[in-house]
Amino acid sequence: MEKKSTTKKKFILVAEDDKAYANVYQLKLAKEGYEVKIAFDGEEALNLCRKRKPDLMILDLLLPIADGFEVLEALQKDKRFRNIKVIVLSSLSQSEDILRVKKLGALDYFVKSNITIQEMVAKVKKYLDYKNIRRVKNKKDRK
Amino acid sequence: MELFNFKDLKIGVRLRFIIEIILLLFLVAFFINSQKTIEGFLSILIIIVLTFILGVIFFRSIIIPLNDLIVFAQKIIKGELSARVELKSKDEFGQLADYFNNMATKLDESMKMIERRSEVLAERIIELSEEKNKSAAILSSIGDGVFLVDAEERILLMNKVAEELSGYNLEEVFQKPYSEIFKFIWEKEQNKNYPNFIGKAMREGEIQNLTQTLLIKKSGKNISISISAAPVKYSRGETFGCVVVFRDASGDRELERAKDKFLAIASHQLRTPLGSTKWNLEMILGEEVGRIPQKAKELLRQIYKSNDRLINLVNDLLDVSRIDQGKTKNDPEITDVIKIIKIKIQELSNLAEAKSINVKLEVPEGKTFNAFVDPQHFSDQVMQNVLANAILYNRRGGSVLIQIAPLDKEVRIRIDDTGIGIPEREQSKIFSRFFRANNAIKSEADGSGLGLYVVKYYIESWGGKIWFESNEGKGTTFHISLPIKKL
Repeated sequence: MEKKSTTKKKFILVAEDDKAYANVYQLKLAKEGYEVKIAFDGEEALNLCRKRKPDLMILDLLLPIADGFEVLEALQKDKRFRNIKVIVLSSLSQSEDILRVKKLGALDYFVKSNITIQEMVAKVKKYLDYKNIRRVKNKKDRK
Repeated sequence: MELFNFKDLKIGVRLRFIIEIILLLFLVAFFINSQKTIEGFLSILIIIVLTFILGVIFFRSIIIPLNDLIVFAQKIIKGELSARVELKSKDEFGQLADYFNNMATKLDESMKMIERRSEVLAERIIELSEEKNKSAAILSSIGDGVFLVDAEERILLMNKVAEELSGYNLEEVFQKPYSEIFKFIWEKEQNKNYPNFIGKAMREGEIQNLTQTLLIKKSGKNISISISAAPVKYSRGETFGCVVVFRDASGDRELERAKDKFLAIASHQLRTPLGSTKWNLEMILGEEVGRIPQKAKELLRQIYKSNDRLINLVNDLLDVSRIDQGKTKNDPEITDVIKIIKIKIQELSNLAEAKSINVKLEVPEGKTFNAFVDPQHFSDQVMQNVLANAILYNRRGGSVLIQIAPLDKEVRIRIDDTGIGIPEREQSKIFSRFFRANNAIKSEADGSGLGLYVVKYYIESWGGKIWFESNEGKGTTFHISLPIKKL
């Protein structure tokens, strides 16, 4: 499986309810050679995760049905999802939100309007290559 | 005209005179009686009668004036100070009467003077008590809390509203140091020391105004207040005490909070479309969806810039609203200043290149400078704003020089630019909210006038300082002093 997935396109799941953003994610990330799926609410995001585990999840915070915080909590609770890498891109910028999100396991936090697409793509690349510390830990546990 | 008036003789003389006459009469009587005739008897009889008459005359001459004097004295005792005794004789009684009359006159005069004075006094007392009642009425009807302390900061007075707001009454706080009764704390940073503004008002002789203050009531509950302390001086200039006025500001604060909340929500709502516009424009400009004509590109770039301006404005508004709400996360720690500045210069290199500005960092080699600041805010607010200003308000082809020097207990950063400078008459306002100098408004650079306000807020919150020198048209030098350890 692991070998196959390296040859396969990396899968990025984007939880974003704003169509104008969703379009750009879809267009740009596909152009960069990734497989992209958009979830328009938190629940859909979790369902898509269940269908296929993403290599990276881009998560907005203010989402219908289940918001970004709830998605992170659900990911933390479920063993299968624990090693999914999540970066949060939101319009919120309060320090409390950033702290909370990081405590819930997100790798990083960006305010969407403050970064360019170029920067967004750079972050995506960075975190796709990033070895999730928890994943390493889990591997050790299995041994 | 009387040649001889018995009453004018001194009493002793009078007595001697009478005794001598009686003795003489007795001698005559003995002489006549020695012949034992009827005439002798008769003469003795006459002598006895005469003696009696003389005695009566003598006693009357004493008793009558004495009586007059007694009557007079009684009148004086009764308070009839206008009474006088009428004795025209020149004997001791006459003198005594004169003395008494004089005394009575003097007494009368002094009494009248005392009366006059006490009338004046009485009037003053009435006036004063009216004045006092008036002051008390004014004090108690003032809609704000008022209390008065003496030069030793002990409470002398407080009005009803002060009693209601604090939960104490005057009896229990009278003459106690105000600091034992009125516990003030900062509304946002409750652990931060609250200044002794009353002492300061008295020391410096100036009114002290403070807002964003909580008063801890007797019950332990807090109430938002605005407060001012004004020194009270005697006419000779000595400080007598301090009058402190405070007002329930919960309504104001409620309004402020509502405004801040609105601002925060509105800003977040604004960010989403602004951000997606930014990204979509970037896609088009990057020709990710197909080639576009050069002319269209230029126009789109213009839109992109305007959109970025709006994003920056929203960011600044959010920063300020968070500062105002006391919602900023501000955790100073030992921070490598050079590292952050280097990253910031890198981030701003596009901006600098666009105006061909040479940004140079001069630091002693191999040294690190650690300051006690919040690294996030130091980077995103302080250095971002200060350096972006130095670049944006510079002339094309100008330069920015950043120097860092370690001082005894601080890290000193100096930023020199070759920009438009700050006009002298506007220099005092440069750190005010929404203030932009005239030449800055006219320049091509955009700004909200919030950057330096935010910069100053953070630097001061860590215990640092920021100041500048500027020559209009030549450039500005900003100095930032940062603490190296916890306050």
